[in-house]
Amino acid sequence: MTEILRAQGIEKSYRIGKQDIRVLRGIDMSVMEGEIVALCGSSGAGKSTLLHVLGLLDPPSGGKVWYRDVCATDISPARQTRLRHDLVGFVFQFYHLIAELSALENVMLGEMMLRSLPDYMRHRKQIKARAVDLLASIGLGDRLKNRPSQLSGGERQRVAIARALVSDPQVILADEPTGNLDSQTAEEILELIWKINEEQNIAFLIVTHDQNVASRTDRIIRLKDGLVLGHSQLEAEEIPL
Amino acid sequence: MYKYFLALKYLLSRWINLLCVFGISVAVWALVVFGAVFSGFVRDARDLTRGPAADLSLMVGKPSLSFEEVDALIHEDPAVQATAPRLAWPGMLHTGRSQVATVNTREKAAERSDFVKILGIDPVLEYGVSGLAGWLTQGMRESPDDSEKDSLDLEDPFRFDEKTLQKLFRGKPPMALEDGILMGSRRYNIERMRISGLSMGSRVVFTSGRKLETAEDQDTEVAPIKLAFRTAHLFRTPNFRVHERSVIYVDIDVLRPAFGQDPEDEGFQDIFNEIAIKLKPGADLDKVKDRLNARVRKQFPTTKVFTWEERKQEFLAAINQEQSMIRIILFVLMVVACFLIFATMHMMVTEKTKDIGVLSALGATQGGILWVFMTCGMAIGLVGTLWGLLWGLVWIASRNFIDQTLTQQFGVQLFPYEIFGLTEIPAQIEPTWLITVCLGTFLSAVLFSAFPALRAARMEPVQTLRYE
Repeated sequence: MTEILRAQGIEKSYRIGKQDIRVLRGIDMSVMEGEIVALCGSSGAGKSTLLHVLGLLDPPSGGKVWYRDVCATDISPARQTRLRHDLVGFVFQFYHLIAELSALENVMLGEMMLRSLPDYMRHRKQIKARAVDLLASIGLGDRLKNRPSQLSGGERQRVAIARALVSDPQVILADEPTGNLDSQTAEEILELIWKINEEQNIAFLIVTHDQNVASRTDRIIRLKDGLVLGHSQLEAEEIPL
Repeated sequence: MYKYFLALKYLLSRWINLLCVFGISVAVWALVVFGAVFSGFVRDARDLTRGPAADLSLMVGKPSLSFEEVDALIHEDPAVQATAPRLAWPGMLHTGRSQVATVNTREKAAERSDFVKILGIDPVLEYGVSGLAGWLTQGMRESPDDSEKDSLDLEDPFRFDEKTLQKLFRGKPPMALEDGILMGSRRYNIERMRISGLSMGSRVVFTSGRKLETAEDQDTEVAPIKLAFRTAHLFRTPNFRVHERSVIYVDIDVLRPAFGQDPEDEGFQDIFNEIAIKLKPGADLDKVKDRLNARVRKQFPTTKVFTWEERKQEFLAAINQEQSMIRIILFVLMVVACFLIFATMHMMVTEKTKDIGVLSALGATQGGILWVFMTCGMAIGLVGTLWGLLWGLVWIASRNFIDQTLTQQFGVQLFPYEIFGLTEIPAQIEPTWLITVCLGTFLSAVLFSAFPALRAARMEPVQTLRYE
């Protein structure tokens, strides 16, 4: 399997007043093509911070992030943005859909990002057709014109997943994607993630507290106090929460 | 692409943006409407202020010089077209029998004041420098549209012709008939004459005084002036209300004896205290004035030539000052409207903090995020400006209808144009003013939306995603 994402000695510290808080203390990890990896750890362990650093939303204080053979931390912000758009998808716990847009528009937004107005107008039909297909494939074919406020939590998260998929990413970084859902809806979302992974071979790095989620993944990375405790496929009862 | 799409969605989903557009459009409307009305007012006020004033006036403090001598010098200038002597003097006009109101506390005291300026003129020369001939023709008519004219000898409008004498005195004119005077019809309308016992041909008395020359150590002595006239004709100006109300024309040769000069006497001098000068079309008033001052004052140091603007300087400066003040006040209104954009955009950025993080995650650049909010501000500014401009122009076009409707329905008058002697609300659209207003508003909107947009662009994506 090819390595898609690699972190080398990632450090992140924040300055609060006169004190430096070291959140990440030299993280080494990687995600392989088509792999689903769980990122576990107690609250404050640095899971979300690591996810943001890996997603190039937050620059690390030290260390490097590689996407395939590109050192993403060494390139310009503009190229980082492009790389993020082309290779990475994000799914958040609270969906973060844009309230003013319909489900379809939220999905299409990703494809609008790097296109000029004439280019978009030329490809509008294809872009729309692809967004409709994506939403239909995740069971939202009849909710295209609904705004986020008119959708349930599960439906919103599906739209968020479709939005992450629209630019054909190689890895999706999911920050507790089922954390805000009831167990049945969470199960549906997980099934969707595994289905996408199986059909499209897209890797997932999932931050989770849920041992059921972690237990299904290919690999678990445990974080504690900003350090990786270990990489393993643990039994459910061994996962520290 | 997403920038414009998202900006449009943000704009259409928030009613407060509409309020913001309304605020901008009200400011632009006010600037356009009040700007045009005030420009029109300044233009009309200038015309009214100038009124019967000649292009240039040669003034002399004391009526002691000969018109013929000074006039010859003036006519040496090639830009001079016509001149006319004037002998202006203040005083009171009354019927002789009626009580003279020296201090008038009644309503519209200014309208009914007995104080007038008597203006001695040579009618033929005067026609060359002012519109008096036309005003007299208008004064003959029952109404401004009446084309039927009575006989009027324009060469000598101060004399009564036989037909008028027969009409006025029913075939029995008085043996000693005083000289005629010309009065403004607005002040001395028929109703006014009836109430005070005046009618055409009635005897009126002009009373004034003249300071006599005395030795320095002696008290000042004043020689009384008392001249009797008969109302000969009315004149009606297009709109020079003050002039019609306060000026009475008489024959200059009738007035000169009051200043010690009688045409019958030997050594008579054709005195004056003003020479009205009309210039050829296209002549530069200031340059001709300077030339005349240099030429005439060399020989007659007590004279001085003024342009009509200099003579009305105080009033013109006052209305220009008022116009500037109005513009400043309206621009303050504009700044307030722009603060509305600032507040709205600032609120929008705060509300959309999470969206900024999401957009970053989806691949939006800092510039892209900046442009989303700049587009919102610019769209508000542009729509508000165009809307305000459109409404402003519609208002200007229908200003008199709106004013009439408001007056009829609610008793509210937008602009008391009658006070200024105007027949309607004036307006003048100045393209440069419109461009200044529109461009100024739009650029202000851009400037005021730039600050919140920059704030949005500088936000850390991670902080925005964590924002609660």
